[in-house]
Amino acid sequence: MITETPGRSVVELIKVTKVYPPDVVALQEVSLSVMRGEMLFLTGMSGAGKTTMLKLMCNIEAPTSGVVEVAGRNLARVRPAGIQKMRQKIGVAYQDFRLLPKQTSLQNIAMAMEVTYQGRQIIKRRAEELLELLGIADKRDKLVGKLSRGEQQRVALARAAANKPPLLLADEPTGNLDAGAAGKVVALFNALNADGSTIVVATHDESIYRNTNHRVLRLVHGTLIEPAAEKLVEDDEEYRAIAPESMTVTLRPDDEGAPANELAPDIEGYDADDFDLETDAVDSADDDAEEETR
Amino acid sequence: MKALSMILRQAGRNYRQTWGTQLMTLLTVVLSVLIFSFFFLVYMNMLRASDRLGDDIRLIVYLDSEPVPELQPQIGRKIREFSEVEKIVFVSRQEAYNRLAKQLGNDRDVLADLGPGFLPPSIEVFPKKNLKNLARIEEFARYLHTLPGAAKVQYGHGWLQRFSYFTNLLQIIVLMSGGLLILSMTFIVSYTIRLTVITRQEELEILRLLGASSFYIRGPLLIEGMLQGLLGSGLGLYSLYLIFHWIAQKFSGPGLLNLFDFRFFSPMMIVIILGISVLLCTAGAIISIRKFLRI
Repeated sequence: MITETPGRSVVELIKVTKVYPPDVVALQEVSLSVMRGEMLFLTGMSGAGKTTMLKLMCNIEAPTSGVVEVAGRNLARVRPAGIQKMRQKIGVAYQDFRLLPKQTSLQNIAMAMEVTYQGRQIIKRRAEELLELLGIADKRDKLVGKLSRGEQQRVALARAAANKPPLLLADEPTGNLDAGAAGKVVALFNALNADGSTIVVATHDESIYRNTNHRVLRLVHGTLIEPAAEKLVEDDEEYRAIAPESMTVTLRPDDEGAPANELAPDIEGYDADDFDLETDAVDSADDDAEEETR
Repeated sequence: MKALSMILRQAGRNYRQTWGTQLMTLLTVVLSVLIFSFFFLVYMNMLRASDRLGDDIRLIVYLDSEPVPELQPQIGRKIREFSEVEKIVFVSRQEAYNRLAKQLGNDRDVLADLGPGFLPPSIEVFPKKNLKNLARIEEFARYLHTLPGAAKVQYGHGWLQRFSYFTNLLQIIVLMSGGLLILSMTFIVSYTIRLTVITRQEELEILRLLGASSFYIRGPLLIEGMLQGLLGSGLGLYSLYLIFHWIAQKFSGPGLLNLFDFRFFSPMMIVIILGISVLLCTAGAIISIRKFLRI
């Protein structure tokens, strides 16, 4: 099943299947193109395969079969150094946050920029801006371990957005947030997207995509449901029985109206349009060796 | 430059996070270097003293009777058959008597009743400076004893033997303390880096996910090892210098130090010890990085 949108794709999944041992099928022959500058919502219930799909996109997991391409490169054939460079350009907000509890919010956000050797002042300024945007400026010097789940989630989002990545993957970014905080997160996504970032949001929080103009895809039991087929699934009694209730989020006017460039200021050395792994191309002769290294 | 400063900052963080272990490691490295360099310093000085003693070595062959002048070149050739020598001096009874009289100075009267004939004639053999091996000297002495008319060969055997034993013992101690140095530096630093890796495992995993380069992750650990080596050996050598200085002051005068012309390491030797220490500690760091860093 292929869902296509015309234009140049940043992420391409071709007949991707992911099976976790012993025989848990997380994704079944999924094909998907995410276009440059697109904001895509991947929806579906817990266990539908959303997180697995994001992990495949940032190469944390490898597909059991099929091809995952990012910026035109088959991830299975990219050298480790290329993967590392690619990860610098993909902001990922993990569902389990992956923060360091014994470091402050600022330090956690700074980590993402330090690995790209940004200047100290730039790092500090950007981290403070993001904390401000997400409404946790006062938690700047607080140890992350002392923050609430919602605050930790926003720190994780700020870290993902810190480098103004050309591709941002967010896994359940509003799972622990109240309506107001969720609104700030959506506003940040919109701002980054307006600035050229491609954004993929995996969520089962209907409120953040209900009135959106962006593409919304649904995953059901590891299979992508096309819009036409979606209706049939929702009509399914079994699905209705386990589907989460919807929640309404009202965006505050100041979040919605914030100028994109203010929300996502330029980061030294980064450009959302600059997402190319050309330098990491490999010769086919090296493929086997790289497979082993990976 | 930015990358280097970032790496150094990261190394600083490592130090802060595991400062207790780092301190213990540093002390171990200091002690290892101090022990090794102490024995090495003594050994080096003994070798120098041994060189000087070797320069003064001469073997005296006492003869039953004075060889006639025609026989002397033959004896000289026979001596040179065994080993090349600096020079050979034939000392007659009269010359021996004159030397003794000169040594006695104003007390030469004691020789008045003895006459020049009471001292035996001798041959003084000055070996080449490369003949420093005690076994070879002993062999040479035995050979000289076979010369026609040779009654006794004298060369300070007992003293040379004791000196040689002491130098050999020092050599063993230096080798052992060198082994200790290698083991302690490599393993202790390796162990410390391992602790750092374990302590920072979660952080390193996150860094990997954020796209940190291999240099960014491994660099601070390598710098940590190198710094341990540099600081540890630097402090160890400085401690040794303080001890040396204290001993030199305390025991100045006509003591043992003056007898042996005791000297501290040359700047080149200090650089070599520092360099080897840094290399050993870096090797320890690399062992741990390769073994325990699963990034």
